Amino acid sequence: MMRALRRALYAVRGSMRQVRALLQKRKVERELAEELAHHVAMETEQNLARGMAPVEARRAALVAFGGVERYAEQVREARWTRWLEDVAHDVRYAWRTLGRSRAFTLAVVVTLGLGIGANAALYGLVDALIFRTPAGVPPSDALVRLESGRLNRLAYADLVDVRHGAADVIDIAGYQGTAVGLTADEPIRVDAQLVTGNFFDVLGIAPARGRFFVPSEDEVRARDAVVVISHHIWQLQFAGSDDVVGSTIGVNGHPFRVIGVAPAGFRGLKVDELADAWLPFMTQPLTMPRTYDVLNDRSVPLVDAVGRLRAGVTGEGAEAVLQGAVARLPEVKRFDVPRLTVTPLRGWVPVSDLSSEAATMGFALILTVLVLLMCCANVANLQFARSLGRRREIAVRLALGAGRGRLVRLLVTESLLLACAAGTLGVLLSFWLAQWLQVRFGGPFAALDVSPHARTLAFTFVLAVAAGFAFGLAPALRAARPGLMPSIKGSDLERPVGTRLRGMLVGAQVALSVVLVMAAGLFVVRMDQIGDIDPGFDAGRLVSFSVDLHANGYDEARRGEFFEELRRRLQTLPGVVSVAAPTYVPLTWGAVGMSVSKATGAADAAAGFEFASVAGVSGSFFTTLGVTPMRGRTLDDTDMRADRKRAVISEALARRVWGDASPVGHTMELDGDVVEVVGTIDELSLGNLADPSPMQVYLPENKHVQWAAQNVLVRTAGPPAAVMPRIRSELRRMDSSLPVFEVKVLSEEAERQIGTQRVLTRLVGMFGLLALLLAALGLYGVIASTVAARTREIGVRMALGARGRDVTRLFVAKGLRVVLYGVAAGMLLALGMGRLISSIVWGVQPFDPVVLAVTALALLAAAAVASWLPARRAAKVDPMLTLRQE
Amino acid sequence: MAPTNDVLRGTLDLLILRTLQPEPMHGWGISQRIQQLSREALQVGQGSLYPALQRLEQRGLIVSEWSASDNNRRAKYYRLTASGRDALGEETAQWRRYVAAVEHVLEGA
Repeated sequence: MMRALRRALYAVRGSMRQVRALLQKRKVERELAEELAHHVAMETEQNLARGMAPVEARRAALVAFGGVERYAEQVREARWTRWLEDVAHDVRYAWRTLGRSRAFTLAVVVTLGLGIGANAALYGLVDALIFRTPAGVPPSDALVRLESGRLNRLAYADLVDVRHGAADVIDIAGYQGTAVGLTADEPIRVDAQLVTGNFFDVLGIAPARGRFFVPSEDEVRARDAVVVISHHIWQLQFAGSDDVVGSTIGVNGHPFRVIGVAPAGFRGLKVDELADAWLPFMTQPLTMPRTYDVLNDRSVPLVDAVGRLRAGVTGEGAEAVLQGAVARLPEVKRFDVPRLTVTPLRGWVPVSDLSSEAATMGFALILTVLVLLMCCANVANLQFARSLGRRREIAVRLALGAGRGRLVRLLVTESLLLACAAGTLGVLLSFWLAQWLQVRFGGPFAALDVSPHARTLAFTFVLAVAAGFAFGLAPALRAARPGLMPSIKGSDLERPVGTRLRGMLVGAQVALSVVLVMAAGLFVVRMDQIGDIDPGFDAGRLVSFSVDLHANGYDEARRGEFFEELRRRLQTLPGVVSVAAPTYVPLTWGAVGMSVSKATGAADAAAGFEFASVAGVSGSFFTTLGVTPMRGRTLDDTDMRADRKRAVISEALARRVWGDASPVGHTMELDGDVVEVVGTIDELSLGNLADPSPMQVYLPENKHVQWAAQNVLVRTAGPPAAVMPRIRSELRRMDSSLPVFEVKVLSEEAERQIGTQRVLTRLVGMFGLLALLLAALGLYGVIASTVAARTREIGVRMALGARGRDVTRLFVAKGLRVVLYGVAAGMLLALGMGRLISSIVWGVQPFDPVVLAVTALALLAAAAVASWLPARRAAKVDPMLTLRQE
Repeated sequence: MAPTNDVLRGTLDLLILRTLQPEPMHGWGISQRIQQLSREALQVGQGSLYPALQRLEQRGLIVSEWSASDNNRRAKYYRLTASGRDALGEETAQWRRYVAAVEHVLEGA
């Protein structure tokens, strides 16, 4: 035991020496030289003593010693720190070599940097969505999410009971999304959250101004009208003034006192509804008097729950207690029996809720990875070409005794250095790109915290290293192969193995570009189709906006009166031609009143049925839109009050059910109701320009709208922007606490929808072009080096009678053959991906023959050019020169 | 001396440790002493000696320090550590066992 300890101690001392050797390199080298010199001197002295002449003595000593440097080298080899020295040396050498070929280095770093940057940016967004705590919430191990059943939610009353039952182990808070109208000077509509009194405490947040709720403020129904506003809305609406705390604002028309401002960046816990106000649950009867009773109804779960574990409690322990609390809940009919599980609060959404975003993200991720792979393949090709040029240098190294592993290490170091440089560029690019994506695409991405984080940096680093190996290892292994004699002598016979590998690389690149070019083609086709769509009305003179009367406490009768009054008032305004109040406005998603039901020709039961989109409209809807009927007439005010429901249907539906016969005067069945058709119109663009739903039915306004905001559609004589201020002031005069929101000029809306599609098309198009270019470059490189290597062979062929044209054809055929395999593989790949693509872009037919044909032609054309250029040079070879060179 | 390989390398280590047992010595001295003690049969190739000294120092069996030699030259002296002394005993025993084994094989077969 003691012995082992002692040995260990001395070993440590020995190692310390090694480290010292590394750090004080020069001193140690000098000492070694001195020691060896001493040895030689002693040997010389001995020789002198034996009677040799001085010069002879020294020479004999040196000979006996046998090459000081070699032994010094061996001594150095024995040190383990040698490995580190080697690496340092390799890096310095790689740096110098890369510095000499600056164009190559720059091209590689930039291409790879782009690929890595794109991947890192996307990963950053995904990471922020799934792994990081929501913005503004300090991360904590004690913070957990309670997930329950299918909907991941609880009923409020159940939440309160469970909260009391499990209070020893966990502090539970709940939140529910809603939208309210805030009135300070101007009424605005914001997303808000109803929360339990301890919500902010559980999350561990501190207010930017004022304070948060105290538990007593969430105890009594409808007593404490207090609200916390977001930092965002505080800056926007209240100009960041300090006297907002304590002031009174209107929430859905009811006076509330502002008690505090949330810290900057915090917008609640829902990624798709960024909250600007938080209200205690107990205020729900004040703000939403006619809604469904959230506080008492246990049948439908609406509340999300999070919690903070008490000190020393584990997730499993809390779960056990929670199960007990759930078991003690009263027996009532519930939509879903709560089965509570505890998961750490990481990310914005429980992973199970991600499916809707998954398809788009998956598609984007695949695109970027493909591009990165292509970049790597290209760089690998470049490396191959470059190492061909260095063959002589490598052969000499091998001859001088360098081990093959050592040589491979040297070459791979070069690749890794390039990859690290590219990685750094990629990191910088990814921050910029992530922020651009947030601004451009908004939506759920806007809330994400994309600031630099260790995980994203680690991911980028790993990606860079992987890329470095991917494009560096194969060329390095190839280059370091022995077989020195031909290289040193200078006649580089291109061995078939080399070209085959490079050919395969190019083939792979071609396959990948086929996929990208096809995707681009499909997008372009789609764009074209969308551009041709006629919405069915003059969108440039139509503006729509929404008001939420229900939230402001209007009942059905008052709502009807309100709209009559509104219509009367607005029609007197100059510039207003016509007003309608439909539950659905074309080109927007504001249509809650739409449902899909079965329509069948009642006269002929065997005629089959169709699914149709149904909308409730008012009498002036069609005149406001400016739509004229194709057959029969449109709805008017008498139809609103008729006993039998009357409807206007789309031409497409009429043709489907009645064929060429006129449907006017006939009846059809709509979800059990019998409806008379009074006329047909040309299809309107429902919801979205790109969304084809040609089966449409328009009924007189249906009355069952309870929660929906009400839309108002106004047709103006001139540009709508001029009339909007007058409309707003009229509304304010009618009810000053009523927010007007989602004001849209319909032509702008159409533009915006096309706009997003256009950006996407351009993006994919760019990728496709880039891929094509990279593949072409790769092919060019392969053919060019093949030609250069086989110059002698070409000379022989030409001397034997081949003409320039024949030689050119030989190489072009070679190039096309490679590409043909690549195109075939790529087509298969693309067809496999077809389903993924059509789930992203609706209406796209992945097996469009035109696109397939064009893609194949494009690639073959590019290949032909890429092989023809270097092949041409082959034709110019002078057989006399090449043959004489040997 | 025959080309270095592991067995011979180990043997050299043993010889060095033995040489250093009585007193500290510098590199040249060690090579001379081995030559002497083996009655001129073993001549340590200098290329093997210094790497071997390096190795032994790494393992903590010997330590070195600079000091003045007999003729007032600066030289690097090596000496055994306590650990080295233990190792010497072990290695000697191991060597003897090895030799006996080889003998048995040569006789027996």
